[in-house]
Amino acid sequence: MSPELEALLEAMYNHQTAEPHEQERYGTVLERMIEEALLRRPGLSRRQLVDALRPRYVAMLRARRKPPTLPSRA
Amino acid sequence: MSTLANCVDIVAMSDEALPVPLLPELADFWQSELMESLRLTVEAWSACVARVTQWEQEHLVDAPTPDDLKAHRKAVDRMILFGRLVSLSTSHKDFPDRRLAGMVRATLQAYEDKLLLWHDNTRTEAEREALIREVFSES
Repeated sequence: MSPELEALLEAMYNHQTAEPHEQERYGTVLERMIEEALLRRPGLSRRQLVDALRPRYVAMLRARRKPPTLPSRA
Repeated sequence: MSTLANCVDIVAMSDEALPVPLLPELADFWQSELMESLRLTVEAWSACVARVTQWEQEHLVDAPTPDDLKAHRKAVDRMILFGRLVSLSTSHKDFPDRRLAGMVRATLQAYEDKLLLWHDNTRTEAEREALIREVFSES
C-alpha cells in the first residue's frame, strides 16, 4: 500500500474515532490529505474519493477490531 | 404581553426556578445558559461518532445484515439532521464560541462520511479498487 493511501486511511480512522475535543483537529488533517489526493486526479470529487476508500477502510476496521472483552465460557 | 414577560413567566413555571437577573445582565444570562446547554448536547452528539464506529466494527465489517445496515443508516441520518440544525446557529458569523462551532462542523463531516463509507452503492467494489489504485499509483 502506498504511504499516502495509508496515511489517508489513518486520518480517516482517527477522525471516525476522535473524541469531541479532537474532532476539529483530526477533521482538519483529514481534509488536507483529501485535498492532496484530489490533486492527483483532476475531476475527482471528495465524494467519489471517500466512497472509493470503502474497501480499504473496511479492511482497516476489521484489522483493528478489538477482541471481545468478555471471557469465554469454560 | 411582552416577549420579556413571557420569558420570565416560563422560568417561573419551571420545576427548578432559575435566579434570572434583570437588565442589563438578562441577555448575558440567557446566552450563558444556552451556550452551556448547547455545549453539553453537542459534546454528547460528537462523542457518538466513535461509538458508532465501534458499532460498525462489530456489525458491519463482516457481511452486514440488511437490518444492521438499515439501523445504521437511520441512526446516521438522524445524527446528520441534528448536526445540520445545530450548524444553522453555530455557523452564524455572530456565534460566540468558535471552538464549539469547529466541533460541530468536523463532527457533521464525520457523520456525512459514514454515509459514503457504508451506504453509497453507485460503484462496485472492483470500480472502487480500480480508482484507488489509479489515484495512489498502486500497481
